[in-house]
Amino acid sequence: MAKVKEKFDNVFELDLGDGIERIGTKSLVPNKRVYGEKLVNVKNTEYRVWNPNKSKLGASIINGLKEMPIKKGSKVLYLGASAGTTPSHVADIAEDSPVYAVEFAPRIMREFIESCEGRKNLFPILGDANKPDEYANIVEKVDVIFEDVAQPNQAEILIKNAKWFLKEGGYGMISIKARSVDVTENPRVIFEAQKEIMEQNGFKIVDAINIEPFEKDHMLFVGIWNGQ
Amino acid sequence: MLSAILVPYGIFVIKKDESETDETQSIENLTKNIVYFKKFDEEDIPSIMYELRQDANEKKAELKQALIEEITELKNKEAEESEESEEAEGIEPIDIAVEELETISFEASKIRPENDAMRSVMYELGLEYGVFEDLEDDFLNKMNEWTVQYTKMMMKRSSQAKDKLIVQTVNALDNLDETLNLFSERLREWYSLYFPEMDNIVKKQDAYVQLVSEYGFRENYTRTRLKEEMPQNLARTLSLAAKKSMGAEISEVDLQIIKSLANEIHNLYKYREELQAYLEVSMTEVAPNLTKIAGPSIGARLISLAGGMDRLSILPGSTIQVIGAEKALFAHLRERADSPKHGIIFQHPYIQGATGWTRGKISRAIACKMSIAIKADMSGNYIADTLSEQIDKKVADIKVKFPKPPVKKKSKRPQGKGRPSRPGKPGAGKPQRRDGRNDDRRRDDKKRDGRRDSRVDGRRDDRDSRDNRGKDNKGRRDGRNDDRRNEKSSKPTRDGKSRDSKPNNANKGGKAGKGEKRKVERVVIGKTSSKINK
Ligand SMILES: C[S@@+](CC[C@H](N)C(=O)[O-])C[C@H]1O[C@@H](n2cnc3c(N)ncnc32)[C@H](O)[C@@H]1O
Repeated sequence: MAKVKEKFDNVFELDLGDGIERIGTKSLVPNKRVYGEKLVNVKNTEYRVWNPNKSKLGASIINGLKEMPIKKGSKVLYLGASAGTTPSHVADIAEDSPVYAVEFAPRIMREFIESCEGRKNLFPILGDANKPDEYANIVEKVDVIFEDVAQPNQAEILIKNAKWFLKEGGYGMISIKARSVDVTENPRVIFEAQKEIMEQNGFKIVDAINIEPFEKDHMLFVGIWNGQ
Repeated sequence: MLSAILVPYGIFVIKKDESETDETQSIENLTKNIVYFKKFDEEDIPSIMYELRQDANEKKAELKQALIEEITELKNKEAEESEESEEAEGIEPIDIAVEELETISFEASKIRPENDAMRSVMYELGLEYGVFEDLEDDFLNKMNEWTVQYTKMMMKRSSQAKDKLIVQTVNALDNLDETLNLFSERLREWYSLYFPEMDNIVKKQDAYVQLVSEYGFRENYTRTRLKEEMPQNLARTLSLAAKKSMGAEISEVDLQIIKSLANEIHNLYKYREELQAYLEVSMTEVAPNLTKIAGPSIGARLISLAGGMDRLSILPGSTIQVIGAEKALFAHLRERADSPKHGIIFQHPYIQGATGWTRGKISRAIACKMSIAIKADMSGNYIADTLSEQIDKKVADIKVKFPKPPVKKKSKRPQGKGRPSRPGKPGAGKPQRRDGRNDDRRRDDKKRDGRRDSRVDGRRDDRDSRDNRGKDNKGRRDGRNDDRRNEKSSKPTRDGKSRDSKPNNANKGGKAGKGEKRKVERVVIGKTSSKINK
């Protein structure tokens, strides 16, 4: 019989008895898969298994994220929604709080919209995270900005969006892919540089997680915004 | 000072005291300063969001004008009513002077303190002003619906602009194929003066072109060098032919100009590849469902032939099934595409690969799904995976249900019109052709025959037919007419067709139906006429 333990607010450790460490979130839309994930039923609650190979946030949790800023009731701005793998779990966690999800590629957006229909707290926005004014009259102040855009200027994008949308004391979470900043540079140097950009612009970095072996040369930074 | 702040569900008008500095623009001050709220019609909200993204300035100007009119009207009413009864019940007067209205600033989304403050209470205010019943269910449901609608509109828009680009790309590909054939032929003839044997040995156009541009002089066709680029035996044949060539000697200068032509053609071939790749990317972006089901080339041609995505999306499957029957004829005459039978969807691998008796059923099923796919593309849904599953299932069903050809009544048609797919059957093949049947029949047979030969020398016919376009040829240029005629002969021809012809290679197939001319041609030109474009 499967066992469930709440690891963070609305994030669960699932023990299916096979010795594999799994996490999952409660399905907001029962019986609906977003990316082919496993569905597990425990005591009349359906959980979606969170695949760390497909979600950097999932991988960070497994790799020892200290504190999870996204909680039940958090308002979230998600930059780089892609087809909705991670956003769907984030929406499960926030539960009845809005997740504003920005994605700029129309083709991917089409798939993402699929996941949004029926998942009522997930709001798709076709827009460029470099241009917050494109969605400034839609997105409210949020508790957490999560960014995963795989762009060279990702740290700047986070800062820019924080200025518009992040509450003072809110969290910025950013997944940094070394290769998309600079292919030639040593990843460690890149991470250090990105961290510095954030620290000089109003974030206090409180956690940094290397998500190997799930992704190569990827870090997840968590910072607190002191407003600017 | 008045300023207007846009939120998804409406507009707040804020009146700031002169004394208030930016720093004091707290949330409390903001809500206290709201002097007017205009709620949008809920149905309009997605399209307002959308229009603001399309042309923010224009939309804001429009909203501003509407706001001013609305407030002015209300003020007038207020004035009237206050004349009648001293106290208009329950209605608070609007604290705006009409003169102030024109100066209202309408910068929706700059980082201004009041806008920033607004973002803190954006949806709480919606609750307060009765837009949402609560901040859980009602707010989430409404916002989800609005943003989904709005995003779909945005995607539709990005597709609409792009389908024009796709139509142009398809046209450019057609032109390019035409040009490539023309120039490749010129090159062959030209270079054949110097190295006539190669014409027969290297049949593929682009390979031929590349060889001329890279090798040039016959001395360069050494076996060692050729071996790197082609199969052993071909390299051998070609190098031997070069050694013993009967072609005329030409000078460096003469050869150089031929090589330049080859270079240009080679570049055009590269550009063609680029175009094809671009077409695929654009198609997946604009019409992911259709692309998944039809493939980029057929999909793009459907869009192009229908005259755009929106036009295509209103057509039923039965129409989609025959789209291109007329136009394909011209493509076929021009660029040696497969001759038109039932529209371009017949180039679909599933239909090509099907047995003759299931083809109609399968193409009907696929056309029907294509029609659903393009509708989904227009509305921004992604259902391609489901659709292709359904197609796979349907095709499998059809194959199970109709494993054998239907037993046919004895054909009334003259012998020789039978299925060429059954080899050995009398009536198929060359000898039959010569047996002096009536004109009509012969043409049909020729057509079939021509198809096979077309890979060989269709292009010559093309040129030839232009020179000798007689009454008969003119008739063939009339799409409708020809279509009907092809219909008659379609079965044998389709069956005789190679199965591997991919849609985008279709143009490499031959032009059929010019058997008569071809035969003459063959006599005149002899060996040069049989090159395989494959
Ligand atoms: C690595 S994927 C995100 C994967 C997603 N976070 C998940 O775990 O499910 C990056 C996405 O960011 C999008 N993206 C890149 N640049 C962007 C930008 N400037 N604005 C919005 N989205 C962007 C890309 O289209 C892509 O879908």
